Amino acid sequence: MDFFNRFANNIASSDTQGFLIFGGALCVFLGVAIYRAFRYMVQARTLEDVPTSKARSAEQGYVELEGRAEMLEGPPIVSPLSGRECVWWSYTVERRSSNEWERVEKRTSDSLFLLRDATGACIVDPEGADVFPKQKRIWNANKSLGLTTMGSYKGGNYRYREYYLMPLELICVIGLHKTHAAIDEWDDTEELRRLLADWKQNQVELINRFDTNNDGVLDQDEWDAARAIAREQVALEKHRHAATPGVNVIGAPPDRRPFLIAPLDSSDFAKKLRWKAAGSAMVMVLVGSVFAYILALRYGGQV
Amino acid sequence: MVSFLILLAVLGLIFAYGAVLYNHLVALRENVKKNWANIDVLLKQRHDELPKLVDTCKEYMGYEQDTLRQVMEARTRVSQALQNGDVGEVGKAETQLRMGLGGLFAVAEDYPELKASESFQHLVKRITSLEESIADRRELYNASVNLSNIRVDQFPDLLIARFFNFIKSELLEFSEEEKTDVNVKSLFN
Repeated sequence: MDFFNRFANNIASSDTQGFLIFGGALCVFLGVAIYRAFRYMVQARTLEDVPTSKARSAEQGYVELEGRAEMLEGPPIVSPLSGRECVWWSYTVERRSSNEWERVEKRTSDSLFLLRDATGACIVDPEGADVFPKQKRIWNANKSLGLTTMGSYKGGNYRYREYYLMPLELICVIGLHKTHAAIDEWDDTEELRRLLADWKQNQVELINRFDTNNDGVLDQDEWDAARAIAREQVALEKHRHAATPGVNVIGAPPDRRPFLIAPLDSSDFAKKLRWKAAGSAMVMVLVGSVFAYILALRYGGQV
Repeated sequence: MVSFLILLAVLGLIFAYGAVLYNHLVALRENVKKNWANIDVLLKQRHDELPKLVDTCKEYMGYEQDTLRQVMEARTRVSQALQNGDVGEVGKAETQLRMGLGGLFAVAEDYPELKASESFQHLVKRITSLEESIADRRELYNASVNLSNIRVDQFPDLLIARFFNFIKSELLEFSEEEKTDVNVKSLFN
């Protein structure tokens, strides 16, 4: 009780500048709590309201997919600090300054990985996603850990946090699903130019093939004939290309809809977000109440 | 003055919360429509394939006119139900069509020349693939209907739903015996 009495007296008797600073800080805190409460609530509801699609039949648009994370073929994705093989990583480096930790570096992987369910697979492009990883490592170091990226932080008090999504983890992704057909990238003019440039590399063969009057050079008519054949070849290649199945990719929507990734099934993920929203809402109510209380204390006479 | 400001802030938060609920109910309603449209597209594609299948079968199955007619009648019923936007009727007509198709493929077993026909095999493959996609899309449609219907009945969404007249959607159900998807391929193994 004594604390509250002292707090009330301090607020009532503080100078205007001190009151404004304290009130302003509470206002900012309240704003952040409101923003976070609404943001998590919207994310949770979006996740709950979009049914889980199957990878083989997911429509073009905003979808939710569930499956196991896998690496794509090619060089593995390795976390930069601890060198762990994972499908996604993120890390922060903090430096102790007096009694506080100050963030000095933060990086997040934007490498593609695969989500595979019982029906098919879809590439995940994690750029711009809100990722909620479960696996993490946190460690402190006073000296260099022998990690090349850490060279500039030698000798200080540093805290390293690294987060991962691991291969074979069950993940839930909600975002914009698109099929990129090979034919979408096709450019007739560019392909024709490339083919002709390729033929020109070997002049002897070009002349053998198209020099119909055997004068050792290609005149305009012969060159036109060569171009016509090249065009036919490009058209045939385009036809072949069109038959190649497209690549499914899930990524960030261009609008403000959430793009979320978590190593949980959809309902557990929504629950997690609900808890976060509830936590932020409690902070919002608490800070809001304190803010209302100090306003009432200060301007009580005008209530 | 302070009380008024606090009241205003609380009302603002309640309004913002109501707006979030409303927007999500709209999104759910649109999801249901979109998922229905996705089924509609596939049913129309299959609608276009069935006459080709029936024509191919006619060449070989001279004595099975009833079976072929049943398929075509069921196809017309599905098409009419789709035009009327009657989900319940689509479900019933689909059941009938699937039974008709099942019958047709079973009878086709007795016609080895038909089974060996390239165009018949191509159509079976195409229809099988469409059936798989329809099954997936139906599952997704029903899931989005369930989500929407639960929200419309759930507090506090129901306050907004009643006020703005959000209504429940109908599930696309096939009869019990037809709930397992028609597996056309298995009939030929």
